[in-house]
Amino acid sequence: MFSCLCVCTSLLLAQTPAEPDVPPVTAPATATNRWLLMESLQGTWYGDILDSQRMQVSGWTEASFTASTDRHTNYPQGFNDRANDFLLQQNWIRFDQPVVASGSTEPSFGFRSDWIVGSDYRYTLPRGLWNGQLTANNGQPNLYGVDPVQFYAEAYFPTIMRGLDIKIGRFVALYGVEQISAPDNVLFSHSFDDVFDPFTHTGLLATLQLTDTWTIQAGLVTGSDIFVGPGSNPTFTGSVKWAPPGGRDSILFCVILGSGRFDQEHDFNNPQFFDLVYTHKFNPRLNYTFEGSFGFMNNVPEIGTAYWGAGVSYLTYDFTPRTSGTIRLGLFDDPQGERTGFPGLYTQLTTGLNIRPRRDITIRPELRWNNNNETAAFENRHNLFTAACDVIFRW
Amino acid sequence: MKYFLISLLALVGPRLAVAQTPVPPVSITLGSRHGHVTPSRQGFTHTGGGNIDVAQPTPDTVIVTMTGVAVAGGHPVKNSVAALHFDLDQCFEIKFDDPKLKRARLSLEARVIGLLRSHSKGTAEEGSSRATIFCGPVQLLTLCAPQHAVSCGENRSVNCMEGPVVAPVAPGSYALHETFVVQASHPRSLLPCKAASSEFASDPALDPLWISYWEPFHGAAKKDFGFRVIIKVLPD
Repeated sequence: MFSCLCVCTSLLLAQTPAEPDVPPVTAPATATNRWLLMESLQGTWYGDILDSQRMQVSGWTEASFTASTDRHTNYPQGFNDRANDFLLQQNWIRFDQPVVASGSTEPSFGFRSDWIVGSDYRYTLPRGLWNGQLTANNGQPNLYGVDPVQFYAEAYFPTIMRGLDIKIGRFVALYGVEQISAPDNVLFSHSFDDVFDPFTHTGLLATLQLTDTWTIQAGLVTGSDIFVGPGSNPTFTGSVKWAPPGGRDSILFCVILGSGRFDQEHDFNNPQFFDLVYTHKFNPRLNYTFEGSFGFMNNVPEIGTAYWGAGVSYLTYDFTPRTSGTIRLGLFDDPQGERTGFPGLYTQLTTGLNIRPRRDITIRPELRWNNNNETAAFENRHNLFTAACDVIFRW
Repeated sequence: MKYFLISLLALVGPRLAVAQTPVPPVSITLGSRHGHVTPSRQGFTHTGGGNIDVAQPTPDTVIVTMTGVAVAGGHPVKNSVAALHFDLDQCFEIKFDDPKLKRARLSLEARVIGLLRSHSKGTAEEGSSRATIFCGPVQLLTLCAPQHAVSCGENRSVNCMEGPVVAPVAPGSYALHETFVVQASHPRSLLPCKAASSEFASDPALDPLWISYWEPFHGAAKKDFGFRVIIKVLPD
């Protein structure tokens, strides 16, 4: 037996290693986050100018139709607020130079400029920046308009802790699950707490990654949803994030701490706001997210101290790599009607799909039920049913 | 004991076989060399690679490989031309190592492998791929690989082989002269216009960002790209 082993071992050792006959893998044509416009410019003089400076131009177009039990408006349901109507909600144009966040120990600098051309500008436009659009239609907003929703300069210092990022300019608020940018949301429509809480801030924001797990943010801004000018108020915004790499759970806690007093002179909100997002991954396909938020403000005319709170749950299941389904159950309590104009507890149940037949196309059909238990907020009804769908084309 | 000896034989047998590979009766000894690659660029262009590799895998064989890339795209205000000109003079000596050997043959073989791409306006080409062996002032062997060019949206994958051509040789000094050119050009264009490329080198000579995202030869194996000449001397 030993001899047989000797023979076999010797034969194995005596084999000269064969040359691997595998063709070399050619370099990938491009980075995966390039979209149609940059793909089209690749190999041209203009594309080379952008690539050599780490710049990109990209964006998307989002169009939607919302069928509704209301006749004219779905309000307080936001963004897709036109009942039984088409909307070109977002033509989002992004011109940016991202910072180099990995693979280098040198500081890097960049910028981002995001523009919304579409109907969503009505919700995101801050005080003090092209506000004429909001009254240009006989005192009412133009249906379509422009909002430079983000513009900031950015610096990244990779050797300070695990990386320090500093932004100066206008940027989206730190909190929450749902985003202004349509492709970043699993469902088409927005929950009430997303619609009636701050969207953007203008000022200075620092993001420091302490460890692989902990990240903190702190910023000094001019207020919530205000650019610069009358009504500006020094406001702190910050967050703490706990997200262990490869972990099943993560927590994000954010605050917006301003004066907490309604500015009666300029008719402007300065809310104090707290938001908590918890995510849990049951398995690679099933994810749960909970968002709880609370805000309050003093000195509100005819109300005094106004407060509101929300709790929203999302359960998302990935049927295939290109198709997911989500159920969202949300409560939004606006007891004095300071946020929505209609006091009461709003309940909304939404179920929808997120279908990506191609990498650059997303289709999101959904069914939604809204209820206000106290006030007939939806065209003199307590309930609203909508069936909606949008298409996003990234370019 | 018997099995142990078999094991030992199995272990050392192949290595002995390798060690006992017969020395060829005739060999090539490389001498002085003068080689250069000259890039020329104007406008919106890129050149990459530009290598002349002279290798002698066995005493009776010499392989010369020239590799390079030239890309030219539409610049808004000026015409674009990119080229790499290869030129090599390599001296070598043929020796008869076996005293019984009276005559030998020298063979010359060439191949060109690469990609030519063009879009609506540009032109890409490879040419002057020529190898000549001199014995003193006399041209002993000459090989010319065919020239290729594409334009007006044409694309072409080139894989050509010429030879071998053979001539009887005696011991003595010889010289190889070899040339090769890869070139691309593009007229000025205010509108975005993709580059024409002449790719005759393996990655990473050509940055993928210089060619179209929808390039027609995506995934092509490039390890053998270039103009390669194989010189071999054989006993007659």
